[in-house]
Amino acid sequence: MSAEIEYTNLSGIAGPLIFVDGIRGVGYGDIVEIRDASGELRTGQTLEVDEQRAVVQVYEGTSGLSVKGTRVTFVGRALEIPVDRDMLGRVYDGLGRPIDGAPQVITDRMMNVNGLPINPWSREYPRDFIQTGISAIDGMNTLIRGQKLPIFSGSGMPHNRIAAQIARQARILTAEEEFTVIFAAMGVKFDVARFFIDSLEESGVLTHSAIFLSLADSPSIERLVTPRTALTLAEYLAFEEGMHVLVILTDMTNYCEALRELSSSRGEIPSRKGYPGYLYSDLASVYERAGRLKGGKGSITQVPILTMPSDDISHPVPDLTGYITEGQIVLERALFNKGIYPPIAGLPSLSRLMKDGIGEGRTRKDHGQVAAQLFASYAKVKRIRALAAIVGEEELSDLDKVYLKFGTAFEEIFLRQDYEENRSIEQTLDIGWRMLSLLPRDELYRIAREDIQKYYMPEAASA
Amino acid sequence: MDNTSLENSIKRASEEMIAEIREKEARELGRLDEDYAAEIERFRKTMEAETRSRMDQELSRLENRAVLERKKLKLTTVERFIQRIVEDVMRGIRSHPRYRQFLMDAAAGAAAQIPENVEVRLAPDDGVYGNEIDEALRIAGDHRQIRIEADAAIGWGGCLVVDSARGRIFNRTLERIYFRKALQIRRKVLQVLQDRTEGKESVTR
Repeated sequence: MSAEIEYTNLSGIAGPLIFVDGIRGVGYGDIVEIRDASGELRTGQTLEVDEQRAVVQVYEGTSGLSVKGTRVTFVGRALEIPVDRDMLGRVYDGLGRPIDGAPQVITDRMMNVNGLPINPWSREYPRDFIQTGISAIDGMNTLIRGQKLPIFSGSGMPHNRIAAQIARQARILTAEEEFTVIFAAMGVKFDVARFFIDSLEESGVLTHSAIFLSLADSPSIERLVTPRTALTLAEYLAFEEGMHVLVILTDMTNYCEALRELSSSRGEIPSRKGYPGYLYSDLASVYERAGRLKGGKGSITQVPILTMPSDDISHPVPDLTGYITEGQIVLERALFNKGIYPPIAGLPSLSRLMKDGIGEGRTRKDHGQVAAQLFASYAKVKRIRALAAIVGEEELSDLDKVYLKFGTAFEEIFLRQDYEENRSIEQTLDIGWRMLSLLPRDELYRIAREDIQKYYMPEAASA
Repeated sequence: MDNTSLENSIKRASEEMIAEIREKEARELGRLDEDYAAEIERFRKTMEAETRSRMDQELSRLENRAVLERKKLKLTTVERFIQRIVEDVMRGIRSHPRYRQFLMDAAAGAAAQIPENVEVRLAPDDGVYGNEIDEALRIAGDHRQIRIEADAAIGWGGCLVVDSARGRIFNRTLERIYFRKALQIRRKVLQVLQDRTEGKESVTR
């Protein structure tokens, strides 16, 4: 075994980057160990390499490092974290090091944090329904095992509560394998992290969850690794241990901010709103680590959360996320201001895989039709509300007034539910039918006659 | 004119009305009592449900915490044990018959990659090997300047060979070798412990 070489020729430090001269045999993306004069260890990664010089980003930040006295070792492989089933129930930093007072789990199994997006040929089409207990999701934007379904939120909205509720209540009706939650927080405040830990602990989910925290005061560069370390453990649990893993990533906007910060430190040409031109492919390298493998039992389902600056859905982060993911759950400021929890917007929210995971044998035969009719009727409510704002409610036709009544009931009864309330899919669909029964039978043009016969309840209108 | 019968009639009518009002009042009071009792019952049930839910949450939190704390405690104990074993082994490593040769090879191997002046740093306890290493490196017949220095930062043993012209340090300290192999070593120790606990003779040596 030959000696390890440490380099001491640092030519500069800029932001999270250090520049090392006189290097040899260093690879792009290699992991780097940086020891300051006191011997304290930090970790980094090579971003640029030429014949003589390497640019290294330091995950823990460069504060306290000096050009003299710092020693750099190029380890010759990408960043790896230990993975083991015993990692569940623990809290880690963004680099996968435990921060809950106990040592790292004892294992010799290491996995590259960059993983590999799943080969399209090996992918199994996601089909199994995940019941979250939230009507707006289960009924109209169904989450499917192996899907990536982001939550588009805004500043101050209850996306964290929704994510915690999903983590607490989510279960697969058609499978018996273990269900696990991996939670990764990027750039969130401590109170948000505490909320998630408490919430998982109270609901008994923490023992089969793992939490990766890169808080708001952690070096921004660490945020870039956090979702990858979380997904690495998720991949191990899903594809080697056969578990169903729900990965919640919050807040992806902070992740993108860190990417922008690093990109400008590197002097790259900025693209939309200063984000790097490779934002799409970088996001894809995170989001594409979800799914199921042919012949495998486990799966990774991703629920990334992102806050839209100024609630702007055309901002590059939600915009590019929407291209990669399979739908989105959008939180609406107007509903939030009305005090409705969860303020899930009926119309812009969408689950592209929903149609393949619902129906007879999975949820209920009428599910698809009920969802489609609720969408259509609520869309009509929106149009009528816009009209009423101009001509006044008194000028509306009787049918339009019925639709307005339906709209209010839909928001107050179907969408609104308690944070602790866990509705089964049957309950959700029954509530959906109660709402639809406020409308005349003739208006239910997206539902089969036999289902109307079976589920329509005229007494709901009088009630 | 005798008004007695009229008075009696009015009196009777009044009494009847009073009785009716009292009866109504009693009915109303009864209804209020029932409503009140029902309200109290509802409140009691709500509070009971809330308390039960809160207790379940607290119980769940305690159970969770107990499971996790036990897991962490076990890990911490094993880790401490491993640390002690490793430190014991490392303390005795200087007396191992192969240590001297390891040190000579480490210094020579690194020095061979340095074309100019060489500085070899040894743990203070390895000072006895200083001259020997110095001589071994000079035998190469070149004109490089060789310096042997004591370095208190090296605790367990091994050496650092410094190529100051190129800003390189060849690290062959035992600390670094352990650092690189720590995961495998920890795993092996745990395996041995588990095998012993289960009464099996360990095959992992």
